Amino acid sequence: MKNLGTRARVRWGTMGTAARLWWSGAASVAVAGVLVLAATSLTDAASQPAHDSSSATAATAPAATGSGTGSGSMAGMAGMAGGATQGGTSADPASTTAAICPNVKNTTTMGNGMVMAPVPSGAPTAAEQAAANQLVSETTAAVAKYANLSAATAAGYVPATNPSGYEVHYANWQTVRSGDVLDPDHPSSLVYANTVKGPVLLGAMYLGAGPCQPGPDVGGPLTQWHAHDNLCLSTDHQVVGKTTSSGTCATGVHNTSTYFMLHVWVAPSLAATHQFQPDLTRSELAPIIRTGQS
Amino acid sequence: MSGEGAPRPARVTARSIQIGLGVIWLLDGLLQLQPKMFGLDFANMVILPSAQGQPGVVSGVITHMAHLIAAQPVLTDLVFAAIQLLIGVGLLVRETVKPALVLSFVWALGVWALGEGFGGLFNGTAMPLTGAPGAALLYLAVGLVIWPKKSAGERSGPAAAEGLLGEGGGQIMWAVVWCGLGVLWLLPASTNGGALSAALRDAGSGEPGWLAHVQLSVAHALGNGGTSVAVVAAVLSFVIGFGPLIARRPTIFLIAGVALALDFWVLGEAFGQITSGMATDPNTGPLLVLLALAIYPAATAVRATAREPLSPTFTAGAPTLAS
Repeated sequence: MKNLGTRARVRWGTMGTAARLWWSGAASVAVAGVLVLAATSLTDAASQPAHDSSSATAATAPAATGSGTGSGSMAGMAGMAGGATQGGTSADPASTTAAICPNVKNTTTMGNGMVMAPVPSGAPTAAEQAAANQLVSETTAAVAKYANLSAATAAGYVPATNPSGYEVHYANWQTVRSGDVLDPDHPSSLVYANTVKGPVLLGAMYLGAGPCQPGPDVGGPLTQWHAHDNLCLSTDHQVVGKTTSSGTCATGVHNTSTYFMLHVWVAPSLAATHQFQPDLTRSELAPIIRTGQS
Repeated sequence: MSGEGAPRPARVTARSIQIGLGVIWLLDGLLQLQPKMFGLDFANMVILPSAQGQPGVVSGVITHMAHLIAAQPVLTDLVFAAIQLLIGVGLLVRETVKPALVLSFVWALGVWALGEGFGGLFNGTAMPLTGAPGAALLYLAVGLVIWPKKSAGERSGPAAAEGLLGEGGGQIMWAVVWCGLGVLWLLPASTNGGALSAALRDAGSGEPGWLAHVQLSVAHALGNGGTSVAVVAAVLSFVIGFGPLIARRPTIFLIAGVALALDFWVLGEAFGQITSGMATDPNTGPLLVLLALAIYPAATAVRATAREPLSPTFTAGAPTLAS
């Protein structure tokens, strides 16, 4: 060790000024690096409980806890079954509090990042069923004019999700800003599938009057509004990705001030069984994409 | 061999490659000091995306690293910039080349793993057109080729001859790099019909008008027929890689390699998107050029040798030989 020190001193003595400066810089950077690593570790550790609680919220999807609402309307919804099953149950009532829209009480956060607004439990009443049917029929009739995507874009609908994706949402921001909720003649968004035969209209999506405001449950448990707590938006409001497990966005910004939404699927193959399903699974979309037939 | 007055062979020296590499490292350090890098964008838009689609462990490490950076973005960025500037300066100062190279190897491997997500090798996105297998690996390759020997080394061959690996080692490194690129060209990330045109369209996003126009034009021309282009590029890469090992005159393969590398650099890498405000390095183009220069033969020396009887030394000796 002593020998090493002697050799280092001799070596230092024979070094040029530039080399001495470099080694001094290297030592300074090394010390700074260690200090920064220590500081970041401490900061990260301090923020860890927040990360853990938020990810637990997203992961535990307590469909059977809290208010107990929502499970009835989600029964039979293929898109939601995975989330509910995956999430299992939790005795912690706080886990039903979404990371977004804390003003909306008794929401249920699913494992896939969907935040389900509360709806009455149990089977729909006859009036609720009739209202739901009416919404479907009126929406189907009203959006028929948008069967061709060009008609929608001409009417001011622009991509709100990746336009090259299998399923693309087109939003009319003027309608959204007007706060016109559940108006079949002016749906906030239209959803198309990019099929082998081009875009095919799948349905409409209504948005609430403003961020974190679910619309009216005209169909009771059948028409459950939902939001997403894991979407990342670009500056022009296009969904560009989902948050990481820590709740941060790889690209874009985390959409925490989000709208609640309600889909009405009008494509014949979906309308019968999936009328208000929050989202479509790949297996539900695949036949439409492969054949171009809705 | 070359006496007084003999023409010195025009050659690329190992020292000039070290300086070139140093300049690139300095550029990297300066890019790290761009305003956007001091915010959360560095963690969210540079580091985290490389976690997508990676195996669990890799993704976890990258995500954890992003958390650490996001916790102290300014300090972390300053340290990152300082390290890269230190490497660059170290390569410019002759006495500190070795420690700077050691530091560059460690840093480049870290960047390759965390910043470049292992060049996309594990998540099926490795596309040579856009910089796979990652510029950081090439820093390592060039650094190894020009690692200074203890002895003076060969002073008449290519720069690599002065390095630890020697001329043959340099050529093997070139072959490994280009054959690796050839293999990557044959992966689905490149051979899928519209993959290349999609990559070009992506690369054109946010670039200056003229560059975006060129990229979009090429993307349009490729359409969904990128498969054949990828296969041709793969074959070219193999030929370029093996050429210097097999042929007596490696120059043509090196020039072809440089030309192809510059094509990628302009079209697929958009000059490393250096004007985007979020670029961390100029990507693979300049490094492939440096690697080519490192094994580029001293062509002028060959010509000079052929003319040597005309040099004063040999002219003086000629009568003796004649007698």
